[in-house]
Amino acid sequence: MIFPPLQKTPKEPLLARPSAGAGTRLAVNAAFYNWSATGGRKWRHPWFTRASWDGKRKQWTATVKPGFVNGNAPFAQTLVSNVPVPQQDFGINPLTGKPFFSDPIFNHGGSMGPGTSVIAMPMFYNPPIDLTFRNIGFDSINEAPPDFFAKRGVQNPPHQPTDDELLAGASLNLDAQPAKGNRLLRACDLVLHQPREALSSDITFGAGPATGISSVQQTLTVILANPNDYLKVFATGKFVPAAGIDPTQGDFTEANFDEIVVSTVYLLSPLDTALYSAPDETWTPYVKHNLFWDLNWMQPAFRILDSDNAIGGLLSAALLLGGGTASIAINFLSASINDAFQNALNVLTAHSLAGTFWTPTGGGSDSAFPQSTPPAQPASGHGLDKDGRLLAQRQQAARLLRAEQLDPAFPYRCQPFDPSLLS
Amino acid sequence: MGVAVSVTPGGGGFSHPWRPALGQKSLQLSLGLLNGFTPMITTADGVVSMDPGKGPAPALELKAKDIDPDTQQSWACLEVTANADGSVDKHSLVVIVHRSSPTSIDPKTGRQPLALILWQKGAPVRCLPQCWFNLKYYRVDPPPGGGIVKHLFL
Repeated sequence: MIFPPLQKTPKEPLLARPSAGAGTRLAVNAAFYNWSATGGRKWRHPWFTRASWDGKRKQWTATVKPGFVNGNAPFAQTLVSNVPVPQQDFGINPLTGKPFFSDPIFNHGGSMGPGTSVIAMPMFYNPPIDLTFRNIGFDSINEAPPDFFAKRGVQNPPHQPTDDELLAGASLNLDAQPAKGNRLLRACDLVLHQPREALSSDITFGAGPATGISSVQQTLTVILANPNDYLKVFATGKFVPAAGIDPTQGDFTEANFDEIVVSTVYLLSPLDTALYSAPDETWTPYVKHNLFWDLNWMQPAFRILDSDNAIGGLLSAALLLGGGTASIAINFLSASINDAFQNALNVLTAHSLAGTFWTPTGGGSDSAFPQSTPPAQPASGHGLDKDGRLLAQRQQAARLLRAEQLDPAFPYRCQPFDPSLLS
Repeated sequence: MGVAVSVTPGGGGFSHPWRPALGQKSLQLSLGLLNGFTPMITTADGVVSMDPGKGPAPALELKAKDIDPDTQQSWACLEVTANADGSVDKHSLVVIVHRSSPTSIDPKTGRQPLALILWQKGAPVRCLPQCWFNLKYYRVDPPPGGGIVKHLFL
């Protein structure tokens, strides 16, 4: 059978064919053009963090969309290039052959030489913050990866024997190698730092009978924030909450600042990257946020106590004034050093000046958002077609993995209010 | 030459209470509520209500003399002077004002910043929203032994 030759459709002139502009997608077939709008950009909440690779300095940095605490913008330390000040030309010194006043001893009128300086800049200028990382996963010390990254190939660190196992003859596992398909993981915490007043406690023991200590005097004093400290955001390999109080060392001084994690930047390596490698531009950044909304902050007032149930046998409490600061002297009885320390710790904890960050949501003391219902999962194949069913299940699992997010969905999560501030 | 079709992508915005829009010498704020009540706002024509039923949306007047000269910043703030018992009702003074500081030192007045305004050479150049939800106000009076009044915006 002879078929007629295919008729080629004439090429339409280049200019007559429409093109896709910004925000659109164009599909063309023989019959029509099909335009569709591309998805809109997602709204970026306060404290939104974006990590990027600085190829010139070979450094990962992060920028944080401005968030505010009581209306004030935090500062962030960032690296800036020095801008040289133009120098006046005094001519050439005939004795040395060099320009006049070119010797370093003349300080060039205070101009900066080439190089960089670290300055503190308000967050609304989006200063890039240098990141420092800790290891998670196979090349870490007993830090297993979060489930989100375990599904993406980050393996658990090798088991190290316990002390009992070492005594039984086991040895440390120093040469362990991961299974094929391992990815490395690094993490960096960005932390919000708020200076504040804090409480300090000094304990002295009075002379007692031969059977034990009879009287203890505890002096509570308010210490001010460090005058050089300020509201800031900084990066650290791992955020460790300030301990401050260490009763075992006799140290009863609170930290004079409050800190809270803004976000955590994770870097995921390509497959089978060598252990202990430093992250570079081939790694993929992920960000998990802890803060999503602007914050209010307040700390409780230092109140003068006249009785306190935290300590038994309170004999007296007297307000002392010295050096412009107020202190309270508390006298109580104690039968042992341990009891004295515990009582002092109880008083300090009960009157702690630690502040609270909260999100003003209009919900009063309850600032939890209503729970959102999860989207319905699509059907995963059915019927007697086993291959089709397995394929549908694999596709659904891949869809769920792609759709999984580190952050909750809008309206995200808020910082709860501490109802004790209402009293 | 030719045809190109462009579309402004959807999303990217969040229509919330107290949403600011900066003008030459004024700041437009979308309606927000405090304890369910509509606040007043300081405009060039005086203090007026933000009630949408009472005419076009009023704008906060911005004056260069009300900014912090060191930082070149100012704030649009919601100031609340509660009743004697600490409650807020339609008779309480709830007004949006332009201030050089986001916090108040007046013990009778609570202040919540709504937007930060950055200035340059005597003109406002940028504003940043700082409040995203309607607000609830509580005043906590000091105990009988003395202390400070706490103005809480939750």
